[in-house]
Amino acid sequence: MAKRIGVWIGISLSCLLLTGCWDRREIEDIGFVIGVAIDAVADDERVTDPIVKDGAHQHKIYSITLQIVNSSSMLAGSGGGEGEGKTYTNITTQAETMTEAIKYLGARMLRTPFLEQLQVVLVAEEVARTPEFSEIFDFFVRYPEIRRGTSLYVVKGEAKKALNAAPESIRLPAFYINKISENTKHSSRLIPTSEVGNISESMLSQRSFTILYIVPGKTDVSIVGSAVFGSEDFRMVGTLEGPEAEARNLIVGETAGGAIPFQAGESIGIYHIQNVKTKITLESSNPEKLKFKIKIKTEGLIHEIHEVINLNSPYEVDKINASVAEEIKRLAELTVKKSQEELQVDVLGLAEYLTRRHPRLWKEIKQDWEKGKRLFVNSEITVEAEASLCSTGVTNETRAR
Amino acid sequence: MKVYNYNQIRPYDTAIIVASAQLGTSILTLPRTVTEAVQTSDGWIAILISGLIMLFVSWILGQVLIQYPGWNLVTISSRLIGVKLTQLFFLLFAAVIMCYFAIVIRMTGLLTKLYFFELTPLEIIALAFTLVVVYCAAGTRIAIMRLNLIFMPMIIGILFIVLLFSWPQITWRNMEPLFTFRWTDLLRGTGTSILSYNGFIIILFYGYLIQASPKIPRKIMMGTGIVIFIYLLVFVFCVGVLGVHTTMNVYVPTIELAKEAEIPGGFFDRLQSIFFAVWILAIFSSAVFALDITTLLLQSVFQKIRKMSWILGIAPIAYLLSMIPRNNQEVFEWGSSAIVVLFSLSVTYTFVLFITAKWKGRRRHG
Repeated sequence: MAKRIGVWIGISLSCLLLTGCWDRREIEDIGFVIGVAIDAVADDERVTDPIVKDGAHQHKIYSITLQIVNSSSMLAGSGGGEGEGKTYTNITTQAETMTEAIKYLGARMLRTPFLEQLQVVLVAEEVARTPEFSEIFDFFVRYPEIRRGTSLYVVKGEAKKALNAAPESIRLPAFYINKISENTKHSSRLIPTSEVGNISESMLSQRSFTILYIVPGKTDVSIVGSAVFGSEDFRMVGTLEGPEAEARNLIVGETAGGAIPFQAGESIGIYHIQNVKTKITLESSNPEKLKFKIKIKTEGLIHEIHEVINLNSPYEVDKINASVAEEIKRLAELTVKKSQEELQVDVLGLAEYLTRRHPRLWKEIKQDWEKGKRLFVNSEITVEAEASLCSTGVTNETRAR
Repeated sequence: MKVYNYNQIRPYDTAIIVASAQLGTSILTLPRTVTEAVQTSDGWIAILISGLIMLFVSWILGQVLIQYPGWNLVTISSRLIGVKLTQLFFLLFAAVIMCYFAIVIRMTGLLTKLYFFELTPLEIIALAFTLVVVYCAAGTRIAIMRLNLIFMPMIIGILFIVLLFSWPQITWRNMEPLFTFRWTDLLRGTGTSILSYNGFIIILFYGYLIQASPKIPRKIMMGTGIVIFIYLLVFVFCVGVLGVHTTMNVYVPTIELAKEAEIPGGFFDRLQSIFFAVWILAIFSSAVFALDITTLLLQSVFQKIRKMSWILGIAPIAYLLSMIPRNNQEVFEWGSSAIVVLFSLSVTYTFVLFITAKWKGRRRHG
């Protein structure tokens, strides 16, 4: 009898456990956050949120926008019929930290923000240029729901705007931004994406890094280059735009294809890069006067050439190769000059090269690389380029000379 | 078909059981602890060296078992080093393994809460886990072994799926610079990583279940070999995908690795949840081993008390112990000290048995 009572007590107690599912989430109650935009707030624009306020705010305040999927209208839309309203909602609040912003917004929209589907984080240039950027970045590395593969972008002007700028056929702007960065990677601009994980690794190893720099238009977003972040306090120091960004990626060897316009006779031709091999060598390891040689070797093809040239002739091909190499060298030197003189930040991957290949030397000069004695700025960097053609399209000449 | 005794473990299975006893929570944090110690991407050398040492220890363990096939450890040990000393060792082992059990309970709760159940109280997660472990340990010993044989392919399978899908994200340059460690750091790293092999001792306690065979030492070494291989792979992937500095800073790099893995097609988006769910099986089996061995040890010292009473006595104590650390950092700290004690005790005991066995053996023959 006593045994039976014991069993019953056990069963009733376990009921207490069974009912408690603390983390139960109904899919209707989840707000899938797919994009985050962080903007600066000017002093006169400070709004006192009723939930936030206790009057003691001394820290920097951000305007944080979340893009949340309207799951009900997404479902209606996929049925083929006319979707009801928009497929997403952008909702903004002012807060000191990401966590607070998410809490307020969650309370406001009656849904629990869920960040595992987060696609893009957009940071306004104004925020990126302050040292606080690395502070608010902490959340994206620390919060368990966020993947390290989430992409980051620096937005010219207001970051919020980019979350609205999408062509009409696009249902979710956050996905759209990610898609264009993927596409440009394979076509012309050859800029690698910048992900939370990579940026965090750069910050931890005290290296400078780049983040894609985008400009929102009315109905689209364009990628214009990369924002450069220094290793001193991890804030944005400048940008590499267009060809400079391309050349930088050639130097670092992070290319998935790109186009180099070159002088072909009197007119222009376009050289598509298919393969890049970059070799950096340290020619003089005297810390006071470091000497680097960067050798860029490319393989590519021609899809367009405005001059009539007999491409069957090895002599002409050599001439094109030389002209392409000349152009690559010019661009690379431009970028080297910009990074040494204007940005004063090593975007060329030399620090990384030194850590990997000359760890002893690096240990010595680490503190004086970009700061202190500024050895990077004072080092001598020469560029060599070599280009070769592997295809010239399907025809030789397209018109008679 | 080869017929074998249901109540025995085949030599082949021994390898798998040894491997599954060693794979547990430590693989999740190993890349971090090793990189922290070695400070460069050369941590794999430390893992390799410690693995080779463990292969040697496994061989020694096999030598002890092979001399007394089918014997109970109490009998072997009492004969070799005397009843009193055996009981002392057993009680020490029981205490340490119980602490280890507590740490495993806490780690499970901690990790599950960190990555999955943000709102569920840790106490509840840990309690549920403990109850399941108790249920399993209450069964027959051989059933635990069989359960491990079923789990092992799943565990290794999911691990390889994770590695396969993180392959495209490896940056091999992260492994450079090679061979830039300082010897003292490497030594420290070896010390840290050798602790991840601490489960090997269980096969000594389960020795009486193993079918007599000359292959035993080889199979135990094979089990350790599997573990070395897996540890090396996971380390290289973590550093390759995450980078040295991130590996050093992220608390549970192996789960972060699983988080990074992407299955093309976008249908299965969150690999880490499947990975972790399966990996709980590995942690579960280490916990079951720990609880079962604690009861086995106490039972052999105090023979009057039933097994069930021991289990129901130990589990609540371990559960309460597991709730003592106040935060994650303390759990990691306590965990490593419990493992240090367990590991050194295991190695000492193995060597004591081996040496006395050799000595007595020589006297017997000579």
